[in-house]
Amino acid sequence: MYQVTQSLVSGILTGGIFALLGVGFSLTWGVTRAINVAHAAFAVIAAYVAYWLLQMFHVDPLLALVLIVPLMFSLGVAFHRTLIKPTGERTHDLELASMMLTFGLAAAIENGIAYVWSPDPRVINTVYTGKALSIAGISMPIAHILGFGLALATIAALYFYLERTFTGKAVRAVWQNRVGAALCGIDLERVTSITYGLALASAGVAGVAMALIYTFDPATQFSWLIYAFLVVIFGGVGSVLGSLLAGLFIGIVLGLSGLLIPFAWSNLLLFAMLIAFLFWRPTGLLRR
Amino acid sequence: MLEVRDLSFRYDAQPAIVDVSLAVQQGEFVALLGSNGAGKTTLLRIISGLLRPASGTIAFDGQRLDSLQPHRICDLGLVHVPEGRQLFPSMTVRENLELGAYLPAARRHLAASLEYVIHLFPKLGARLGQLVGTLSGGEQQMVAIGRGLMAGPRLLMLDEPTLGLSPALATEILHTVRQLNKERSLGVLLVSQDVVQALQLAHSAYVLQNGRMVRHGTAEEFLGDESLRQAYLGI
Ligand SMILES: Nc1ncnc2c1ncn2[C@@H]1O[C@H](COP(=O)(O)OP(=O)(O)O)[C@@H](O)[C@H]1O
Ligand SMILES: [Mg+2]
Repeated sequence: MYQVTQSLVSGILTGGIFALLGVGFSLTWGVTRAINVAHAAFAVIAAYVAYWLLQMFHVDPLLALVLIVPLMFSLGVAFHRTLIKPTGERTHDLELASMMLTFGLAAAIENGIAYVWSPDPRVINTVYTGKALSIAGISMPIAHILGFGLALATIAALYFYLERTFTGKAVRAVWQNRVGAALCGIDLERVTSITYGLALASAGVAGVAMALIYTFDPATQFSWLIYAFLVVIFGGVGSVLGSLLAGLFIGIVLGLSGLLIPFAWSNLLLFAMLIAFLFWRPTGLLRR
Repeated sequence: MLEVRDLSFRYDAQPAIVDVSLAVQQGEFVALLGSNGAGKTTLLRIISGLLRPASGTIAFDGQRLDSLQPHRICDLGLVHVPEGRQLFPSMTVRENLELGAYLPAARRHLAASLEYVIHLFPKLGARLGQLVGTLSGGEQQMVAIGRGLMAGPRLLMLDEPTLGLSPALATEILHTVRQLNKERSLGVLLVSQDVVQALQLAHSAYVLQNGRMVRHGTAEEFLGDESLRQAYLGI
């Protein structure tokens, strides 16, 4: 029983971070019909930035977010302006075209990082790395708690931004009906740029949160991308709450399955469930 | 107020609008008539900036519109309530209406505009918190018109606002539009299949056929001349 509770707790903590990794991916997919396969590669960039700020200037990764978040937001805006928007203007099938384009971009980012910073695996070593809190006999690594806290705070901020602010509502409006949104006076281009900014900013926080608990290297982007895909498929395209639930669900499944089957098999289990899920509920947990 | 000159547009190879001219004066109620596929929707979509004309000019209060983005055109007070309503189904009635006042100038009058829309369509007042996707067709049409009014238009273009509604509801909606036109001297460009009713409410009318403007006259001319009605409107 102790082991079950322990696995459940660590599953929830990591699941929250998976949710954050997927939520921005889901948002750009929903709002712009573009599938940004490079989403996780951007998260890895943020992880490296945090790593080097720590190595070179002893800046704690949490403090580094003050720099990383605006940086990633601007990168998202630039990414939309220079790549996604021109592609959208040249094709009728943006889902496919964007997938090809960003697949290439992800490979370029991966190789670029390997070239500049070598393919060596990196570990973020802070004062709290490896330390754990013990509550009622359940051990919780501080890095996991911080990563989970970051994830929850970011998802909550995103949720309230989309639900409560005028610009956030405009993002949802563009997602639900582009023509209707344009006729309301919403500048589609501006709102889409903001969406990419938010998506990559959230990817940046997710990259830092992941880097707090896992080693990473340039090729890590691919396994992170798988989590993002799983979150979108379980959670439904464009749904923030769906992403949160999906991330937690994935974390719990991975955590608990570790008790029963060898770790190497957990991913296989996840994909088996994914296929079963797609048959049962193709539009996600929360249909919207 | 609105001045469209020699407008042409084609979908890929097929011409849909050919040398069309049209004018709406300040506070005028104009009906745009024509059978299915005549090009009415296309014409409105060009005017509101959703489509780019191949040639011709559009001016609103003297300002050229034909290269502006839809949100800029909306900002000038030329507002399009589109065919099929194009609402945000997973948002509430209130959110849909508020988004109509998205632009800063309109947002300043949001509370007063919302009150006015509810005064015009009391049914919406009781349903502000309901998701638009769960409303009836008639209620959705009220939201669509309400959303357009929230932008504070000086000219409202309505594309088949009564399509699929019961005759009683259609009459109610068209009379509300006429009331707006009178009380607020709001310019109206109405596309409607209810030809007789549209002519009874409008000051003047245009007839579009196969993408060409074939006839323009006062509403009285059309209503009073059976041969004219038969030739152009088939009634
Ligand atoms: N998106 C489109 N692509 C190609 N042809 C179109 C498109 N929309 C409309 N058309 C064609 O343009 C013509 C005018 O259509 P439309 O403006 O919708 O007419 P109306 O609103 O008067 O019924 C029709 O022949 C229609 O088939
Ligand atoms: Mg039409």
